Amino acid sequence: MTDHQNQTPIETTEDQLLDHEYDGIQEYDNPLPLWWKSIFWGSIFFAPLYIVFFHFGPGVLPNDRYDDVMTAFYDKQAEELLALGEITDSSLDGLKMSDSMMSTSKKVFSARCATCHGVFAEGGIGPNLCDDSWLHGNRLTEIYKIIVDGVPEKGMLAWKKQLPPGQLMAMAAYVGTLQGSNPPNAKPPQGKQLDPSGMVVIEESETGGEEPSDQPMPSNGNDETGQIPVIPQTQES
Amino acid sequence: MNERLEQFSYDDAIVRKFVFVTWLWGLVGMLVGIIVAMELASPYFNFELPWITFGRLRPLHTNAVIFAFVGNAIFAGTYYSIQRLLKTTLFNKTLSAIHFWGWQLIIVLAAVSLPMGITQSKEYAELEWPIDYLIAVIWVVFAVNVFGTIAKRRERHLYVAIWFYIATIITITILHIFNNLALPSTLFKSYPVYAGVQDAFMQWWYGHNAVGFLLTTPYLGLMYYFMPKAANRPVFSYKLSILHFWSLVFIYIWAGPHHLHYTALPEWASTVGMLFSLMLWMPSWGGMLNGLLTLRGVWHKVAVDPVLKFFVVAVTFYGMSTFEGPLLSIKAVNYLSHYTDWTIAHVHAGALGWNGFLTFGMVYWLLPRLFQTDLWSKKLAEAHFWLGTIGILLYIVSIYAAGLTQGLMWLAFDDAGYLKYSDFVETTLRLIPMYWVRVIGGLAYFTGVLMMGLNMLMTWKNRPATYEIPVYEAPPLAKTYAHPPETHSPLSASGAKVADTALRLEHFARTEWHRAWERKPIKFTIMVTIAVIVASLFEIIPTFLIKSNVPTIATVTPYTPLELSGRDIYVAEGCYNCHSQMVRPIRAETERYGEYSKPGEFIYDRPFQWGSRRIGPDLHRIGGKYPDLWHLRHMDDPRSITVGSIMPAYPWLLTEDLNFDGIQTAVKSNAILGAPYTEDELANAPALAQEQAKVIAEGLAEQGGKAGLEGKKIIALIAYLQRMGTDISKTPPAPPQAETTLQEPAGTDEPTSPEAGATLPVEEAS
Repeated sequence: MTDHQNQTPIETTEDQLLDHEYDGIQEYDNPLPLWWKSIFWGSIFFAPLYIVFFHFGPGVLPNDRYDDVMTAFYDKQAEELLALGEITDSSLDGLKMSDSMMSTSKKVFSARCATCHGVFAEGGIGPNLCDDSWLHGNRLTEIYKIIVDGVPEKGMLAWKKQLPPGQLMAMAAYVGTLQGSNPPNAKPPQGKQLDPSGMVVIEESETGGEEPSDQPMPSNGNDETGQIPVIPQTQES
Repeated sequence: MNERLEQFSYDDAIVRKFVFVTWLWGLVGMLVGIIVAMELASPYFNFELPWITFGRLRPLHTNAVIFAFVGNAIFAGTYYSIQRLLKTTLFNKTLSAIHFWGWQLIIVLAAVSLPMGITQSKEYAELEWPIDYLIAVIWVVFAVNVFGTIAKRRERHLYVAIWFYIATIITITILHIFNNLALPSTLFKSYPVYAGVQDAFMQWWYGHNAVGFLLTTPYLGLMYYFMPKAANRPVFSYKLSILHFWSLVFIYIWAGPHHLHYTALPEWASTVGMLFSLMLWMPSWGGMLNGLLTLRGVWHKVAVDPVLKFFVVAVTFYGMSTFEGPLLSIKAVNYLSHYTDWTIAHVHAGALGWNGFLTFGMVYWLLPRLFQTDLWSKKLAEAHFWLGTIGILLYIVSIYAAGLTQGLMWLAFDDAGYLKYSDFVETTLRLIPMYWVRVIGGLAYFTGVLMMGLNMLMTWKNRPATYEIPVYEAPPLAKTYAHPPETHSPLSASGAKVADTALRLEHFARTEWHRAWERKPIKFTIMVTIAVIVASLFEIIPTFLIKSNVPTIATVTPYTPLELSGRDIYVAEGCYNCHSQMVRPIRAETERYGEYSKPGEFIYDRPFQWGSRRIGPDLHRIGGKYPDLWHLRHMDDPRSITVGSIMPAYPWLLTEDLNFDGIQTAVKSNAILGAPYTEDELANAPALAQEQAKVIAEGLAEQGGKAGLEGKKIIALIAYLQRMGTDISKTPPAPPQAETTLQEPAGTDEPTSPEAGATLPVEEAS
């Protein structure tokens, strides 16, 4: 009646055959290994301990741990920022002198910025950074602010969370070095033509008027100077 | 004993049919697997053809392998074994035929509808509602056939394999119905009755238990039949069978939330999921022990018998995966593994190793019996075994490496405390070589299945002109069951006076109570149903009733009609297969993507789109991150924006027209399900959508993008992408965030001290 009638059980003292069979299949009734039982019951007893420790005791749950980690990070960053001192046009301008800093910035630029601004900063989705027309001002501190906070309504990212404070400053300085580099396939100018010397000359007297409003700088005169309008100039606000 | 004997024979024709389609669909499912593996290694293989892009094809791969390959193997093995274990033929030949052809029809419908983008987007439950109804009907046909066969049985007690079949039938029915509750909007589109967190919870209650009760319990049933048959050895322990069966069935159900650690799911559910997953380890291993220890004394046979070789490796992989499952469910491990290829490696160890190899072993064992001739080539079967094993190893080793690599890279910070690999694509590029190794492994495994096909064909060719149908004899079951004389327990036999409780305990330990259940299939089935339902309700009821699970956020509002239709495109294209929408509260993620996701943000998300794998970056905070033009160019040609991106291009979204008229039904369906749409939106959705589309399209044209896109699908998708995850940062009483410390990185408002010169301690960022 079955394929295999000749079961050949190899009997040990352990193996005790039960008195039933199904299509020739027999069963022993061996006891469960101790390690199996121990882990099984152990895993059950572990559960209430875990719940008490984490949900009613000193254990730290993921959201709280996240808050701790963030607080620690912000403390560290705040310290770093204090150490950097104040950021001014001249302090940023001074960074241009550091070759290592500029070469690092060049790498960061091609990795992060080139997607929108072009490999040679000639412009693409974002504006050309090499000409003397600027949407949000051409002072290094203005550029720095744009890098830090971005222009969310136009798609410029805020980089403050992704780059260290020092690197943010170096990036502003690096953008300053691009001025007048005249890359191929340059995107037509956008914004207001500004005196390129503004990028290097530091005039302390003017700084007072430079409110770091959260709005993008109203520096665009909405000049329809015959170029193809690429990014809408008018802000709805 | 004293009655007349009844004559009966077994229906093997239906088993032959199911065995053939098991092979056929296995081949198809694995071929699609190889194609999607190649698409990941190089996006070129998407060929810019909508119906074979990764997002549409990956569900076809998973569905084909789970429901077509494994499904048909279950039916083949079940139908072969229950007849013999119950000493009767199948309940009804017509039902068997309806079952067979109905299931194949479902598979064909899946193979057609999924590449067309007709999907519910819930993993392993992608098929749309008309097919879901068909699945339910055919599954019930299967159930009736099995329970009918049990009713007609000539064997008093149910063998352990049948316990597992019963658990499968009951649980899959419950899972399928409750996860697929949806409101049909059109013939090809429905919206789930659950939204956001609850939808995610139901989906992974389903997803986890579909693995449990389609890939595990029925296969344990098959193992309990075919392994002792092939080894010709008694099963190691009946006690173990009882204990691991009941603990598995009861505990499995609870563990679903471990798929949602660190997400917006309430923490208590996550904890429950993890703890029950740990408890599940030993019950799972009970099956492995009973499998491997059954081979005691016949290991020399394993060396010469390809069937046993397949079984041994299958059970070993089962043990490995069921150890790894609890491991991955530990929150701290999940922190690293979640959304990475580790999960993919884990499921393939299970699917290729356990399900695949057990199926192959079963088929090789069945072939000579079904075709009543010798297997055509044992050598070829051996070769299949070795090639398949090498294939699995290549696959899983490379993908484990990929998972760990990507997980560690995502979490890596540099010394200054910033993301070391802040460009997501860096982490993708690192995996490409491993993706190629996976393709090679998959090809090896696939070739093995081809070899099995040849063996099957040649064995079939050698079949006799007509199959011999042996007739067996057995007495029918008596109306009443004559209890065998109660075996005297040592306690009562000794004549000692013992308390009642001691006697009861002793009785319990001798498992005679269970023996009684085994001869009462209805009671047994009810007990299984209770185990499954009780466990489910304990989790589902609090998830739905406790308000604090999903704290509301005042600024979260329903999607606009255009965004809603954009979302439907996102769903149809299967974006969730590569992109999560769930930023976890982990600094490495909030730095990369933005604020972590809150439960209240998803209340209008039907279906939820949290995803389970990040082949590309998370998208929950994509809204407003890039300009519309970025998205337009990126969807048209991802590599023009991100060098090295492996995302497929979606040029057809720029040319295909959006069905504005259909938006009204979509809005209405969502309104019925609870989204508070305005009168205007309920009456004029298409016009409103057109208005919004016009604004976006004009903006794109102004920015230098292609003009005249206002009627195209891409506009709706952009509208959705730009909306995603932005509600939380809208104006009304914004909660104070910790972010304020970052707001003013260095007081740009006072650039006054000119001498703060060049001596700044500036990091050299990589």
